[in-house]
Amino acid sequence: MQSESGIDPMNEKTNNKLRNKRHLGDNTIIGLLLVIFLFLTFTTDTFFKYENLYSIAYGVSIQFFAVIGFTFLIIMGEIDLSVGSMYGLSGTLVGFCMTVWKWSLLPSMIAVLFVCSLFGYLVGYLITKFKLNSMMVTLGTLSLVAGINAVVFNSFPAVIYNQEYRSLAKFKIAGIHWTIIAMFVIVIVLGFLFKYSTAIKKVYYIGNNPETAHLYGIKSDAIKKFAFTLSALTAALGGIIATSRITHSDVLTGNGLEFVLITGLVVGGASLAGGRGGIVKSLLGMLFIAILSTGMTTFRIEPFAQQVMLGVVLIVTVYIDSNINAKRLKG
Amino acid sequence: MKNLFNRFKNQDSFFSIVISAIFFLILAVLSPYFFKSSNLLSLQAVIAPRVIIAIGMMVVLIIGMFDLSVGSIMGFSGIVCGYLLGHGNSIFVSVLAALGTGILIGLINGLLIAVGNIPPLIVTIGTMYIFRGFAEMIMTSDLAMSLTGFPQEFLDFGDSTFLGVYNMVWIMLVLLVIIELVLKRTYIGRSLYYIGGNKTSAISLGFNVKWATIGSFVLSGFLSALAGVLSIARFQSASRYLGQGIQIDILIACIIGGGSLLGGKGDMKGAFFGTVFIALLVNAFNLFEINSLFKSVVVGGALVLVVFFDGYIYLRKMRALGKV
Amino acid sequence: MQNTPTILQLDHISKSFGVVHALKDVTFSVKQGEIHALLGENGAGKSTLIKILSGEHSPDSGTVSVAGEQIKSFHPSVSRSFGISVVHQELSIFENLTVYENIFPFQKNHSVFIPKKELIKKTEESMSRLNLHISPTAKMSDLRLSIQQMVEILRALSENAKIVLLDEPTSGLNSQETSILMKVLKQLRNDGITIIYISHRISEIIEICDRVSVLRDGSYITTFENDENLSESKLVSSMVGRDFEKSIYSKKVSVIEEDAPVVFEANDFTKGTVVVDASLKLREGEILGVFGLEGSGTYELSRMLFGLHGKDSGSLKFYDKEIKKITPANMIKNGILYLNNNRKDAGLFFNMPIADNLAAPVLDRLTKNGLLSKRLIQDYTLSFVAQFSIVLNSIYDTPMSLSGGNQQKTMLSICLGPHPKMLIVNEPTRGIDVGAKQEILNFLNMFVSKGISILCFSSELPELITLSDRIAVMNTGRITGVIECDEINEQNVMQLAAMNINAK
Repeated sequence: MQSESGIDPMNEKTNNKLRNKRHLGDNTIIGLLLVIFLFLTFTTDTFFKYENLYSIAYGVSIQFFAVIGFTFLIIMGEIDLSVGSMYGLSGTLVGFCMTVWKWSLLPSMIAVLFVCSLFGYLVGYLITKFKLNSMMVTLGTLSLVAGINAVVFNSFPAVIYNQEYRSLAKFKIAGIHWTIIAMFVIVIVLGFLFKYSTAIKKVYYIGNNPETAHLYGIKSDAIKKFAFTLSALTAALGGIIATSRITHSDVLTGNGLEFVLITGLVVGGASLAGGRGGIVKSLLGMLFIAILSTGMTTFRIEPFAQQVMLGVVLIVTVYIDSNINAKRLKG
Repeated sequence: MKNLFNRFKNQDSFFSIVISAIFFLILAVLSPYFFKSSNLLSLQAVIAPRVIIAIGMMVVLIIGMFDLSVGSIMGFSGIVCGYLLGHGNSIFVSVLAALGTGILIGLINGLLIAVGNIPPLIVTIGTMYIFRGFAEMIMTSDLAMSLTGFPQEFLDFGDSTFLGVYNMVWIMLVLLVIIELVLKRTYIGRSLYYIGGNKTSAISLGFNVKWATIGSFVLSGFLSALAGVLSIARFQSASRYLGQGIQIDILIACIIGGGSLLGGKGDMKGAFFGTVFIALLVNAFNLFEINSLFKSVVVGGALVLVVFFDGYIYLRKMRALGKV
Repeated sequence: MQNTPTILQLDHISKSFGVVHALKDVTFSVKQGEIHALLGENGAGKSTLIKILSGEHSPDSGTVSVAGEQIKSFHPSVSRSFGISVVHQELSIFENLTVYENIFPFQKNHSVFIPKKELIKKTEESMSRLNLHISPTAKMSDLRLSIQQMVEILRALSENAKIVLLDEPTSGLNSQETSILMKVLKQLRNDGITIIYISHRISEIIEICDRVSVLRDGSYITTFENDENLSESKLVSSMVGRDFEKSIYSKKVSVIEEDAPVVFEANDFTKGTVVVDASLKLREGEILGVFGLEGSGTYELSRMLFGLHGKDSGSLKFYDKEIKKITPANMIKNGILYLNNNRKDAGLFFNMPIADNLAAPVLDRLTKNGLLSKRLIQDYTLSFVAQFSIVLNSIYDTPMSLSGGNQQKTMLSICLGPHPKMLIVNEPTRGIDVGAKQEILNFLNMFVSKGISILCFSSELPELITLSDRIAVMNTGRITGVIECDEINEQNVMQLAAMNINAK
């Protein structure tokens, strides 16, 4: 198609055919981030400081784990409302293993991650095999897992965790918490894979048009089961680290996390209908929410008012997604 | 006689009536504390507000949607009422304001869904968080101090009984009867079943889906607010945790009571017996000294089971048609 | 019947959808109180005509008059006010409600309360007049399809319909249920209701209809009186009878040997009554066309063969090896692809770039060092764009920006990418303009010369005749015959497709 000299007459036509049409709204998150970043930098003197920005990044880096699996599901048009409960349960379970059974950290983590992944797999199995509505099922597992969390939590005395567990979240590499480094590494690696991996590409096909994906031999069920398992696994991992950070189990850990994740993803450009989104977009969305929260705190808006704000942001972004983007997609 | 029994069997609410009866019998026989008046009274106080909310939830289920904000509306309206009462306003004004709040939030829900085209899940999760947030804001501020000291008549109303049964139970019964009548005997009520049963055909027949949606959510909001007011009358204070997490219980209760997530089904008998069943279940936990924390496990598990059965039956139907 | 007034008059009705001329200058009339059949194969314009009469579409030109009064605007409520009711193939009933609630859903100027007893009484009266025994309080979901259909007809009548259109009413019914329906329709006619019966079941038309109007390729052909002179073959001929010389279609000359090896064998595919004991044999390098009218089961069979539709029984052999698990992924692995029609929902990823669409079944081939190569995808896509002359602005546009013909060519490319040995094709040129039709038919012929065998399901007879070495015909779920190339002509095919298979 392309000759060395570049005088090939096809070249002109070919180059035209390679023009990439950018869609409006695909990258509004970058604009939003810029706006809020600049706004806070210029209107406060506490925002643009290393400690502040660092602490925002640290907070996001722990929640970020839960977003990884969640992103896969949203792109495929599914959802897992129980991520928050799983996030909470995992920390409690690790605490239980270490306090009651006197296990050390690593075996506790492995056991808990395995159990949580298994649960995620079961949920994924039920949903794919019986073609159930993931929203409804995970609304149920949200309660179920939260209940188990409460039961286990109350079955052993609340203690401050031992040094080993507490150091998990605090571990630093070259002066920076490992989770922040992990977050960047994961985003770069996964971001790369999201563009160039055949397996991940299939996720987009499934989200865009499940019937067509099926027609061309893409095995949706297996990929979805994997995504539900991953969602539980990554939520559990995030929860273990989050619990370590606060040094003791709290039954409220993870409460409302699904709400934060949905908002973060939709603000970042994903669509609840599926087919859009990506790991980078998810991260940017989470950063936006974290910066928004920090900004609100700086302006002395109390935590519960922030919750109100978040609810408004969620509704507004989904409104835009449902109406403007959907119209565009329908042509 | 056989005809009558068959007709009874075919009701959507049949299952819930039967398991409520079974559970009632189990508790009556196995627990010596069940029939104690303290237990029965506290059961009433728990059941009545929940059934009132379930009425609204069932109506929303009939048109094929659900309302997750009912708990927050209950809590927030209760706080509004408590605040106004604590500041010396008359009972009439305070209660009216609380009910108005419920109607307003229901209106917001309905408009966002019907006109804004936003999925009910997102809208009601959003309003749930927003108004829970408002409630918390009030309760953790100085305003919280004033949420006690309600006028005696108000407290009496919540406490007193008529014919051995709390006032709120009578209110509940009246509402059940009225809404059931509307659903079964009037065109407006019946239209909800058409819309929930086959939305496209309903639209082509001229049914107005937008108004039905808005109306249903307004009703749900109003009833949640009413439940909130009745609760604080009974418990004599407004708690920041009022109504928290109640939405899943009510949703399960309605689905067990015969409502379907796909719409087109459900009635007030189901709303009542479904709620009674869940309440009896929790009561059983207490009476048999089972850890009440297991409740969420059971309720969540029940929702998963119900969604599974609903989905499985639908899947079988599609398979028979070959569409899968 | 001579002096009966005209109740419905269509004058010079034309309607086009883009490049497709659905109706061309159609003029005919329906007399009051008659059962009037509308006959025509798929694509003849029947469904467009129904949609105009029901008010869903408005004609581009021409007029429709009911009892002398012209319909000025087209909307479902307008048609209803003129007394026109349509009972579609896909019933629009409310399964969660009772019979009488389905018959009387919405009354104008109604009171607050539903007069339940009155409605039940009215229902019972209608039932007994038509000799039906359906309980008014029975729940719709408990009733059989044929009964549900009766209820929908009764609903049409409850709206004081003067003209009832029935679209393929017997496609889901067995012979007993069909005869009950016939009795009901005759009674309704005697009551003065005008019935327009849209079907291609010729034996039924002759049994019940007073007159038959025939449509072909969007044009009105003629109206027959149902007297002694009318025969099934006369009707069949009127449905077809095109002048092949003047069209893009030409009769194929087959080069496939009689004893060419059979590469694909489908045996005894059955699903309820939709597809019954269907078996096909595809020879190497041939195009086997499968023709059937609406409701004959061709669509379902094509999907069953690829694992897209449930089946009760059926086995496949490909190159003498049995394919145990019939799923799309497995079929593709064996070298068989399914080319869908661009109108259906599966076939294209409408919100993804065209390049991604093409890459879908062959992702693993377009990698370098295990990762997707943008360059490889680009070259891959451009080669198909050139090969099939797909007209587009950029390969990163979405298929939504393409015309129907180019969308179909894109799907063709997707299916060709994995180097298939066989294609199952479903309606290759439905809804596409003539120029693109020609291109695609040429491409399909070209594929066989490259060694691909093709099983082509279509309801467009001319295109099948152009393409096929042999044509298998389906009728009410069964394969009624396979016609060899030199014996293929429209009459033969249509006879097998439309005439009552039991009437021999």
